Amino acid sequence: MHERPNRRLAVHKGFGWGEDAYEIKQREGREVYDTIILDDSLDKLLQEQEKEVTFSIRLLAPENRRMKYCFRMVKARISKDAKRYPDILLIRSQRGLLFPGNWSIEVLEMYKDLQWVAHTTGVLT
Amino acid sequence: MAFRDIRGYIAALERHGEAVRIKEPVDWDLEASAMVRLACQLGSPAPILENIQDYPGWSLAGGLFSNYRRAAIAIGLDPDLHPSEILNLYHRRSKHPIKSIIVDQAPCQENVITGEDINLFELCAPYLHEGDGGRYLGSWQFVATPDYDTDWLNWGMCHLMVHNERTLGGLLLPQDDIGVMFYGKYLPHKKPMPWAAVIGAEPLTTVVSAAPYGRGKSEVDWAGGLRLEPVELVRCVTQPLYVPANAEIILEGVVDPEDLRLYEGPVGEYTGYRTSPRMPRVAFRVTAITFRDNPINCVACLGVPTDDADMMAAVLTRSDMLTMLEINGIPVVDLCIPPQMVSHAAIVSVRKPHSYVGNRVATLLFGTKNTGMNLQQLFVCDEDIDVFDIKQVLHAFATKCHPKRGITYYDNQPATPLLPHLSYEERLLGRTTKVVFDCTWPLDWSPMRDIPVRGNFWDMYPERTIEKICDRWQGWGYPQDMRKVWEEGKARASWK
Repeated sequence: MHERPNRRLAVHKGFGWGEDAYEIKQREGREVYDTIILDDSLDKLLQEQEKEVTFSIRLLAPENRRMKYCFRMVKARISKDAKRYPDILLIRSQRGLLFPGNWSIEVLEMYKDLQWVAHTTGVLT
Repeated sequence: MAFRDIRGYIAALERHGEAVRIKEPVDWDLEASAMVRLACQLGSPAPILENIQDYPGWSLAGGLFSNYRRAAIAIGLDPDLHPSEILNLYHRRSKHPIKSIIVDQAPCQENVITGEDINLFELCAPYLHEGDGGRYLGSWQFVATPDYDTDWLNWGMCHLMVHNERTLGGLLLPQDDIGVMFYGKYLPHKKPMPWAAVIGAEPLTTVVSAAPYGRGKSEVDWAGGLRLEPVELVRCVTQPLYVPANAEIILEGVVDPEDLRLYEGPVGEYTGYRTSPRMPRVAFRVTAITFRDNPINCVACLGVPTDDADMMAAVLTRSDMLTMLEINGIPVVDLCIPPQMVSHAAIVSVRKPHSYVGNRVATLLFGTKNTGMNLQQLFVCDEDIDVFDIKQVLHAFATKCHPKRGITYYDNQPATPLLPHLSYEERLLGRTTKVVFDCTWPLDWSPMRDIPVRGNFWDMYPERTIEKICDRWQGWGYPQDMRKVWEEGKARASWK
């Protein structure tokens, strides 16, 4: 069963898997993170731009590779403009699809505690 | 003979051509799980990956229980037996539990990490699918939890996603035994629930955790019954509970009612889709990590069939269903949960004592938690169908199931929210419709006028012709030993 590649669903075309995070980091000299939003479109996230927001990011290119995909709660500013802030933020939907296009992020504070559901507001987790 | 640990089982899989050891470097980040996934899709031997990037000394082993042959090896049977024979032995042994024994020394505690030294990222947890919410340390493992106010020790299988150095996230469904313990007892009393995740126990010990054995009944004893030997348990280092002594890795901790909930997921699920979205889940705080030297992390990389989850349903839920039908006097001949249908479908063959026996089977199987939560489609066949032969079942469905009279829907049934065909609202409510396809001839049909004789080799020719052809089949250059097939099956196929 499924011994050879199938056709891709037309509705999922355009959602790629993204580049290797370490390659992006090496090329651009910027940290790379991602976050998973509670929505299937970027509409609500657009309203979270350029203000201080607290949410979870995942470390995609940490120095110690064993720590890859570790969650960190951060206070940060984000922007759809990939160059506006120092580091790169990738956005995934609640079912894991990667939205095309990089966002940027400025991490103001990084905490070791976790982002609890009760403290979550809006689309960011 | 029972396997002492997963290492003995892997060696047996290797002897039977059901596992391969791979010593070339493999990345834990998608590469290892992709290998497991492809092996499952191709039906290839289980990959035992012994050289994992960033984690020297660690191994990952995947797809360890992903076909009937491996299920047979796990229970000590000839892997070439018909699935029905393998599964019937599971069913018989499940009725005779054996009490566990306690030991003082345990391989699973060769290495002990507690306190500030705990860092889950020092354990080799693979990133299973691109787009998953995190790395899953527990994908083919179980969580042991003690009841709040009795001596019941429950085992249950659930995913555990690594959040940070000391916290995992997992789904505790209120209807599951572990959920009943936590939401019904620990949470109202505001007491932390101890837990221990057991990774890499011998296969039967792991497999039994996936099916509900019954409130107050210990899966530990069931595992002993399947093994024909007691499970050896050792006391945890930091929590008041016992775990299999020969497991590879043990995580100990608490689910603290004072903790808030965490978002976990999404993750690729047993359904063959990433049906588990990002949702609020319970936080599992870790108080100790213990593991064997050179530990093996056992991985189920769930997706389209056939993988470990499909096989566990094929083995364990079948046994639950048989028990339900037996105690209600259904003259069931055989029962199959096809691994290709991810536990959502069951095929039952019956002798018919009265009309609409299919609907009785449906109400029994749909109506209980153990058998009904995942089951969506039920196919009921006559006794002349080998329910393990999907081609026969499809033929019966296409020819015997009346498109109107043969189909009955059961609306407003409880369902697991992971069912991909549910709408968003239905997923939130956990509500579905179930269906039974009656693929039997109506009881009032005349065998002379209405019920036709099936047109296959075994039905349409006299025994003397069948015997002659089977005897000479290989002599004509065909590979199949049809003489053996006929000898084995002729009593079953007799017209008398």
